[in-house]
Amino acid sequence: MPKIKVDGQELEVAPGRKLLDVLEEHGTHVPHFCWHPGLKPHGNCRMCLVKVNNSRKLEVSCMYPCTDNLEVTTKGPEIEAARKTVMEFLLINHPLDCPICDKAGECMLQDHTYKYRHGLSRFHEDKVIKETKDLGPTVRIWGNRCISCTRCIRFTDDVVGTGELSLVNRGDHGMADVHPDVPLDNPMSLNVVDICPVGALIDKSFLFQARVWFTERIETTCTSCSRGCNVTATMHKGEVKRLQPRRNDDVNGFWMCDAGRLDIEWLKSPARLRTARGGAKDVADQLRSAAGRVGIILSTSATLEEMFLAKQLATAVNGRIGFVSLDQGTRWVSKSGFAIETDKTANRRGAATLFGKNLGFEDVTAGIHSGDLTHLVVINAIPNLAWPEDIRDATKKVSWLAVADVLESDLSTRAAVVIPSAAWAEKDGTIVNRDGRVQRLRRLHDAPGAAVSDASWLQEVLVHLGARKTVVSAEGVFREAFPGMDYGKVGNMGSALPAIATDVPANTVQK
Amino acid sequence: MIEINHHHRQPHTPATREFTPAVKAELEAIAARYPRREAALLPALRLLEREYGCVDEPGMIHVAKLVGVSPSKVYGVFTFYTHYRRPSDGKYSIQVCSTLTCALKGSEQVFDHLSQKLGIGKDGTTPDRMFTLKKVECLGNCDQGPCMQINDDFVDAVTPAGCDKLVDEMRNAKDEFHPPPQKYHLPPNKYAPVMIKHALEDGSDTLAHYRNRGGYETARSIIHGAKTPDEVIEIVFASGLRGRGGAGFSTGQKWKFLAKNDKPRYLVINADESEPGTFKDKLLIDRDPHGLIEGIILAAYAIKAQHSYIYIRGEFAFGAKMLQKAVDEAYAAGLLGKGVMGSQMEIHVTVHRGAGAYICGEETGLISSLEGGRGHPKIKPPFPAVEGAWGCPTIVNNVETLFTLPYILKNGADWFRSFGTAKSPGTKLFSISGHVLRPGNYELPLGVPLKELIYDIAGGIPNGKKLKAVCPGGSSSPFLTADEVLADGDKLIRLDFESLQAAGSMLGSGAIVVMDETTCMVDVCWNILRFYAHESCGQCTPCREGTGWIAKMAGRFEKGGGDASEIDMLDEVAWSMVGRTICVLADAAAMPARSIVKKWRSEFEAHAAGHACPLQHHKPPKHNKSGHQAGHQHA
Repeated sequence: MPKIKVDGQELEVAPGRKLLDVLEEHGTHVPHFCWHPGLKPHGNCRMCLVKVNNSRKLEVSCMYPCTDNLEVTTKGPEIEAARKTVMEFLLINHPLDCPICDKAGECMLQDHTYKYRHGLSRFHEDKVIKETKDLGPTVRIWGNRCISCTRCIRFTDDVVGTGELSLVNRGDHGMADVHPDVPLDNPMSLNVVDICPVGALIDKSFLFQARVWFTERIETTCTSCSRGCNVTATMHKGEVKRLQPRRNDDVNGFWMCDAGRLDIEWLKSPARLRTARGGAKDVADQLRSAAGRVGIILSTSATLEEMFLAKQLATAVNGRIGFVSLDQGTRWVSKSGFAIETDKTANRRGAATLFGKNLGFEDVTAGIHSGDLTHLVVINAIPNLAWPEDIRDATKKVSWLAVADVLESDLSTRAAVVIPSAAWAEKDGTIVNRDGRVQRLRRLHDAPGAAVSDASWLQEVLVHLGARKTVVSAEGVFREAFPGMDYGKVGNMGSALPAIATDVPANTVQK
Repeated sequence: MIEINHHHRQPHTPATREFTPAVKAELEAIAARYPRREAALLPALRLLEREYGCVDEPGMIHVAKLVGVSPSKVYGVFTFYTHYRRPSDGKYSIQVCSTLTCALKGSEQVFDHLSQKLGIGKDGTTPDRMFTLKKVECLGNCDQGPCMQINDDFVDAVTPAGCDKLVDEMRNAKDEFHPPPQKYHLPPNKYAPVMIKHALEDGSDTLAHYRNRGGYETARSIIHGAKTPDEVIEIVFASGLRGRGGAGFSTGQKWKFLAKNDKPRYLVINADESEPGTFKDKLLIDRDPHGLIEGIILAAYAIKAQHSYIYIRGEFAFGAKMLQKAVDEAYAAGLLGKGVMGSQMEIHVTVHRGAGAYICGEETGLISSLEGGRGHPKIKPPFPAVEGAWGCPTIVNNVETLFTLPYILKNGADWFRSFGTAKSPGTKLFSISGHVLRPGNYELPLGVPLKELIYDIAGGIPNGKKLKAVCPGGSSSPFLTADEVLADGDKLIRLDFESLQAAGSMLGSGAIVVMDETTCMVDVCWNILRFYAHESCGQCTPCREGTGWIAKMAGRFEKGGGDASEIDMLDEVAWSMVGRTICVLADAAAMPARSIVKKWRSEFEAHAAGHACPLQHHKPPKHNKSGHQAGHQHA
């Protein structure tokens, strides 16, 4: 292994690695714009200049291969002066319109300007004027702000493979752009906004929504497919304003898909269920009286905790449990291997762990059609689910129907008891992605109206039935289900799925 | 005329384009000449131009599909190059050269005259869609300045009266008007030329003529075993031949750097002659293309390259035609192709046209362009000899360098060393232009005193004027004052690599631009900086931003808007661009600019003090507060 010396400190590195990769990992911050750990290096911004082996010229560290006995200096007057000139050059044609730029507050150009440049601009000429326009349905470009770093271009070329973006024009007229008739519309398009080091590329859904310094960021997991991309939610005045991917090399790398990112739109839908009809006590009373004739249909988007409690409920009332899922489209895989799964539910793997591979609802609907089951509880967390006809028919046949759902449907209209459910952003819990990784959902904001988390009303039902003593937090349920585990151990990046408690502790219903 | 929307469509442009099967077959044949299909992109855009009169948006989508790249890649490539015909272009695109020599010779007056006559400004098109007027950068025809191109045809020594006649002829032409073909001239030269002595003879561009003067015999004997490839390399190394493109690196040494691996090797011929002031390769290409092809055969044999690509700048449409004709003749005569000259060798030559970008003369920018991309230089190392075109070991040699090879290999290294100096052996073509009596190409042994070329060989400064400045090696070389040029003894400046380096400048491409006492050096500074701002590819921050900045500053000074306190700043900004970029374009802009600021500082001061150009070259603008002129405007 080659040994290099960074500012006098010795480091061992894998051969062939680029200097900046190593410096970043080692915690030696070298300012940069065009370099991004998820993209091929390009060496154009000239910000990451360092001194190598006391060479006459400064070298760009993002392109410099580590070789044995390399001596690197990352600080010093010469390097600082070089950075200052790069900053000055970057700003001369930049509009400096931070007050109206959505990137302000999380902008590398702004941050580096504070840190690496001081004083007034010496530029007294007219600036180059470039276009502001939509690049496609999701992204808008402010050409004047573009610094031609080509991150977005390398992303569409090498990560997505669709190549909608290119550097156009020449010299200081250059900017990232699409062919005028071919928009930027790939399924991962919005990642270009995150990686844009300036405010050139803006997410149209976040445009003018909030100044980022007034926002709060919460780390959670995307539920729009079984991949479970790690995300950060930007919160403002009690609303999720956007989701952005959070690096997790075992799950999503640096990226997420647009569908997952925009999965926050429906949370504010007028079709959300907000008022309850009946409650946990009504459910408990009905199920107690119908013990042995109860069917439960759960969505595979339910959290592990909800599934665990549903299982307790099934045991308590001697019911049958079935699942509804959602598969859509064909599996989409980007050039770099990032996949958008057809399983649009977040926790099918979790369901399989708790209930085995057979996750159909036919056992339940058959029981209803044959008259064996008379009471049905439907617990759904999949938005806009097109209910299978078989389930629809079954809900019409049963003598009593309870529906817990996030959005209104003909089922909720028909149900004797309706419990408005908290959606994924409104509750804590865990989900297991397709690769068997347990990851956390965090409550981002309040649920609308009277909506409650399924984990909490299910516990109330179990308490009424005498099958549980108390209602505990989602984490409390998780600890019951997975002895020895807690959310801390799951962590922000998820962990391998632990062993489930072998016996589901629940008492049978006392009549 | 201000164009806000660059992408406006012609009224009758269809929504889609589709080549005929014959054109598609033509494109397939082109693509088959490259290891990767994307390389056919620039030629494919030429096909669009030929078939539909311009490159338009639906055409780019069609080409993207045929070549196998995304439409945006085609769009990015198209907008990088200035030479393709835009949908907004009129029938005749009049491109007036605005760079150094042509400007010294009055190209601005020519442009203004045309602008007035046609009633259109820069990049404007007449309402009848007959004429589009463009200001373009150096066309590589400086001894004939001021020059321009009407579509692909050169017009030499243009005058306002000549413009009137041309415009009338274009208006009245029944079919498409072409100006008369260019006349070539070689001024008398007391140093008997070796390499270009046949260039002006009738038919010098034909195979028969070349063979009559012993052409291809050197290549034939070497290919048939007179010398092994390694022996050829050793001879070239021993001759001390240094690259004639500008850097002056040992050709033999460059060849020796070739990576030894299983990958194919490529020879790429740099015929992208575009260093302002340089017009030597154009002569060789137009008048003696077989001399170049023999050089290519020899180099390809030496470095074991099966395929060679001649990358010729887009503006040299005639040159490309001459080269293609010569290549076709050579193939037909068995001099190229499989079994070259009856041997087992296979040597292919492809003529590849550029499309208007100075940076494609930089060898890695050239390779990017050859591969079908924007001409972005690549970070070195790896050098092309290790990882060049398509990731394979590649030698990029200048036209003149290769042209010299048959002479070296025929006569030997010692013969070559009998010319020139110990470190700069041989003869070399020098292009001299500007304020001299007999501008043109001169083949001289390296080491001739610069002042001998200017005053003796080229006839001195016309009209009894005094010398003010000399740009000795293309506009990228630091400028010399009259005192420096006229110095004697230890300070005598000779035309060789060492002497010019010692004088703080460089030999470069051997392009000498002479400026007399009437020249405004602030204007010159602005002129060359405009060129570099226009030609910066835009990758690296210091060059992209810096070239534009210092060009605008120089322009402001020229128009009287500068302040004496800003002179140092101009120098500082230029200095901060040096050595900070992927290629040396930034240095090439900064170094001459710094030399002008340093040596003619008083002129900057005079501009600032008088709030105007003392020579009234440019009057202060009436409305524009900063007085900057847009360096460039891409379609």
